[in-house]
Amino acid sequence: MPTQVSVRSQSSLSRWWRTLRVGYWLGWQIESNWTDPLLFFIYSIARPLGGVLILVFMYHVVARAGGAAMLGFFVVGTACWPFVVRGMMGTAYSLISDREHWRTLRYVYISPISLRAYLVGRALAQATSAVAAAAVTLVFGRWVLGVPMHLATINAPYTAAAFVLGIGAVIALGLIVVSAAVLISGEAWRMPEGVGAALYLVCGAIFPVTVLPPALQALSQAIPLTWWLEAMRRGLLGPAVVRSLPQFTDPTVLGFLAMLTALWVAAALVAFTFAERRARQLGILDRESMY
Amino acid sequence: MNELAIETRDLVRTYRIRKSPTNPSGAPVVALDGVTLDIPRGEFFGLLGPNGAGKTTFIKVLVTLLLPTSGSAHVAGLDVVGQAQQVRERISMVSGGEHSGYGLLTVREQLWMFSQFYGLPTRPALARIDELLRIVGLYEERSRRVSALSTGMRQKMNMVRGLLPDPDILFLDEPTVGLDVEAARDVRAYIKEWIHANSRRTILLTTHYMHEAEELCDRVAIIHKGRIVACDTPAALRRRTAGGTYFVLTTEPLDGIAWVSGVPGVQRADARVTDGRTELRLQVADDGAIAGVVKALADRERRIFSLQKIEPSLEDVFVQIVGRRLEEADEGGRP
Amino acid sequence: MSEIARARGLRRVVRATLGRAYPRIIGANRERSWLFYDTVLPLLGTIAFVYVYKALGAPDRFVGYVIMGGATMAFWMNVMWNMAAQFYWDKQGGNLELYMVLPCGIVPILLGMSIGGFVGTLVRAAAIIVIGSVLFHVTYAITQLPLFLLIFAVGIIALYGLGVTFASVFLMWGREAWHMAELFMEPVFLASGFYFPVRALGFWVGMGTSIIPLTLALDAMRQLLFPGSHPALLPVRAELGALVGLAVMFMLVARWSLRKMEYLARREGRLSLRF
Repeated sequence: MPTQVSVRSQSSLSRWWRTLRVGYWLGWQIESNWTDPLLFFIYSIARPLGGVLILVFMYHVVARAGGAAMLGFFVVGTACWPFVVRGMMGTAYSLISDREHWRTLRYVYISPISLRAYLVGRALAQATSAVAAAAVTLVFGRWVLGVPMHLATINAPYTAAAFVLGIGAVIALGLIVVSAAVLISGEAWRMPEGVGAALYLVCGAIFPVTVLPPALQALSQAIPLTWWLEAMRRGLLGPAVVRSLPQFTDPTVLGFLAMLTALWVAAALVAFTFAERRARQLGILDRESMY
Repeated sequence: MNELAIETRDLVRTYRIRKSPTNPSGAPVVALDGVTLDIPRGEFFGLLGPNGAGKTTFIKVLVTLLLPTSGSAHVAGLDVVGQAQQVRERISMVSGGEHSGYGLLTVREQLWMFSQFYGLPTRPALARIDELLRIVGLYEERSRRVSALSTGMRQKMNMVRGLLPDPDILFLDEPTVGLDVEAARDVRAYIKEWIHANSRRTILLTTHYMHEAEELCDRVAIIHKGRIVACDTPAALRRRTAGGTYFVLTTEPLDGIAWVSGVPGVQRADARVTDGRTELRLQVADDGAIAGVVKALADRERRIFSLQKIEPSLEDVFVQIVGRRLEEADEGGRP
Repeated sequence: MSEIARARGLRRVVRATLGRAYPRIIGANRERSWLFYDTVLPLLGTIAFVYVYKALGAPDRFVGYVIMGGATMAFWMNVMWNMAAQFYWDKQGGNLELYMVLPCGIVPILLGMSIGGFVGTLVRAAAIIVIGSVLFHVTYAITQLPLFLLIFAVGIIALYGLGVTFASVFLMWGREAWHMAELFMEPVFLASGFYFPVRALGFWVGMGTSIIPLTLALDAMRQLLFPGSHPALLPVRAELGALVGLAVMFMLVARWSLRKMEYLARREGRLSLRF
């Protein structure tokens, strides 16, 4: 006789937590197990380091006076961006690959779990895989490029608060992208990449948004990632940094980040609920595009 | 011209497997263990076996996808190792449940693309594509994108792709998997017609459906754990089964059945009583012996309610050789 | 079923090549979203790097550098994702084992993939150059158009030769293939000087990274587009000579590696095994 296990009696919060943990575990297995640890490490750091070095050489070929402050801007932006790529795009790819490649989405969906918790778990696993890239980029920036980033000047509580809020914003964006991915099939693989590229352009990842045309500047301020990157730069680099949002004080930047993150999380939950219901109506929740 | 379409000698294929909890020693897995087989030109040959028995590995070696570890294999008289390119000129393959194809192409375009790989001129190739699409009942879907096809439709399209180059030797690996009953029947009817239309054509079929093998194949081999454990015509295999053909006769209750064994030609008789009737199971040397039993019952004034001749199926042959039914064997097979 | 005479030899190679190029070319028309993504994605990245130069207060010719880099990126992405990693997708989809048993061999399949991919990418690259140049008011003055086109053609041949080499290597790498394709993005953009003159890496480093055909092709084309102001790695004709050498080398290496990998794949049984 199999052992009786009652899962119905578990509280919804503990179930949510359990689902998130399982999603995280699965995401990490998929993310890290495709190769040996050394190659995985190289893979994790090569792209961001390549990215920051491109910017460094672009800076050097121009080498204008007063441009040195841009190095710190590049380094922090490049260090933070993998969290967006992996966290936001990774959430979308988790759903798409479960649907199209592993073909498990339908079984996950009909199990008595919160799909949101599962996807958040997968997103956090992806975001974890960005930690090594971020750390190596920051260390490289500090010790090889000489970016002024010192323990004494780092505002740790501010940075930590910004980081947590930023991850929340990334996951919210991920859920919004997932909501779109649920409703489309053929282009689903490319869509997150497109969103990522657009965000890269408007959120001040590698240049201050002040150089963008006014309309794009207004758009960038509606996206929490712009405030997140700004807050991370202010927390890590101190006052000498080039600013994307120079008209705001440090607490204001953090405040806007918190407010926008909350708004985007709410919007993401609404969007996901709508997309899920619509997909069920259309019968496309587990549709495979066969491309 | 070589009269053997397929000829293998002591064919061995092993797979190197990484050490794992299920294979702690990392010992190679033997998929084919000394397979020796001759398939003459023109034959419809079936290969039966549970999952992991080596069927697909055998086909993959023959179609030049895999190199044998040792032994030799010849297709159309050509060595699959040294003359792979020439082998490919003469063969085609269809695997069941495959998802090959480019979703953005239409059915006709997908098939035209493959016709070009075989060097077929476009106009006659398209005519042949249309002809084959009509045969498998996919003509109406010819302009539909591959991505929009159901599993069964895809399988029909793949069957057309396999037949398109008109190969000398066609390898069919579970070709009717996923097809509905009617479509599977159509496909079976067509490939039977196809092979008989030209004496140079040969088919090697692997299937899970015993009735398919019985209906189609001139000869059948049973492969188990990488070895051919039986190979003959379906009828001969059935005859070899212990028990062979027997009769079941239901009559009014009998006091005893010792006399039945005395009837000329009766080799063995068993009886059981159900619902006030006696059911006799009779094994006889030839069908004529049953007349003696009927006469003896009439002499004893016992009415006969039913008489049935039971012949062993290929399933029975499989059970006797492999020790399990095909479905059970699959469950215990290597994934 | 009536008999149809099959073409053999070169005629079959041509037929098979065109057959395989067909889905690539038709795909661009049929899936408009692909056209959008393949053009807009590199364009967005390109514009981001244009703004980096603007933030650094760089002269206008650097904007031209970035736009050329963006157009080149379209070719690189095509080679990595649609050539090098294509057998990986084909393996997943079950097409690869069908290709491997074709009588025409695998070379026309690769040739068709290359030609189809090149045609589509050429359109996208042109779109990136036109849109980028219009948006940022960049003008070009090509001094020697025939030489420019020759460098482009030889560079493309060498590049697709490299793509075929990678295709056979990725075939053996199995599921690591698309991760490896990703790995060859930013590091290659850096090494080949997609967004800055490769000379900035230093002469010897630049010479080392010239093993990637785009490095020399980009540098030579930039010399012809921005005569006088571009810091060259080597003279244009020397770069053209080196590109011809690379094209020949990659075609030979591709041929060898394809045979080798096909043999190994058949021996190891990894042509059709899925993970």
